[in-house]
Amino acid sequence: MALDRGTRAPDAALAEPNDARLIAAATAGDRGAFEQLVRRHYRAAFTVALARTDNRADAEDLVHDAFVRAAERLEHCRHPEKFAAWLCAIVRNLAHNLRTRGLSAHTTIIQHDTIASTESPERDAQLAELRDRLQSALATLPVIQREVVLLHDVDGRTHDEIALIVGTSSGMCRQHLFKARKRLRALLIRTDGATPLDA
Amino acid sequence: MRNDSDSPIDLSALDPARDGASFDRRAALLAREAMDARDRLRALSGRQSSGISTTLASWARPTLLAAGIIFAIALSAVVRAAASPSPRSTVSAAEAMGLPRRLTDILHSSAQPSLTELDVALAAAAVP
Repeated sequence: MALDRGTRAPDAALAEPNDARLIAAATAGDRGAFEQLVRRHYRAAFTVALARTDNRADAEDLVHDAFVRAAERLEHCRHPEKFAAWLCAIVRNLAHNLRTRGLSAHTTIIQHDTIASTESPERDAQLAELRDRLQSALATLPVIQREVVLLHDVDGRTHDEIALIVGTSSGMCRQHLFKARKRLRALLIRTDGATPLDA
Repeated sequence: MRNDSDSPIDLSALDPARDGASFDRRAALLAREAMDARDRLRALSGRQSSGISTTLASWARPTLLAAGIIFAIALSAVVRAAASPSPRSTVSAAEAMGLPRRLTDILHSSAQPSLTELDVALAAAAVP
């Protein structure tokens, strides 16, 4: 499920430009380069936002605002190779602002209902129910554990990449991941043993 | 089902890119809006910087004119001062120090003063 970031497979690394190149191109006005950055890092930004808002719609709005802000300030990204960490820091700041203002983020340009799902209504309903349960379980975890488990199990980031994004060591990431999975399993199996939790 | 906490949990229901077509549209729309916002910001900052340079340029001419006038006045004063030297002081250093005229005349004179002349001159100097 992980997006290619040019770090997974050597052939992919050769085929896809790295973040620094994409940022340089986007800074020069290349819209396609910025779109590649969006595709590459959307999941990471979304999982960090979801870990902090517990609300999918707010998370999507935060990601939208974070990418807009990132585009406006691309020149301020001093370490392009750490773009994901920089972007996620923007997401955290926006989430913090959202919490302190106590307002909903549903004021941004993206209208969630304009981007319709391509799944069937029944499947959508099942998915929504499963999401609610997963998000309820995630909400019981400390924020750092939420971020780590989502970045690892949704975005497919490595421990080293996650360590860079959340600002901790790789070893601590492993610990957070272990505890988060243990807690999630306990919660989700207790409520419905038939839920296919294991990947 | 594994209960091992080291094995991944299937959280794909939370994956924002789960629906590929929907995600593609979302990513394209987001990238376009973000780059539009970037272009707007750059255009705005460009207008602001050009506004500053226009303002400075509008100030430049009066400022240069004022500087030119001040320079011309200062130059004419310097030229006038150089052309008319200040009148020499008629007061000698000895007089400025308070020595009486008679005594200074004796000092400036090459002739030998008599004792009476010296006595009169020193007596005049002793008078406050």
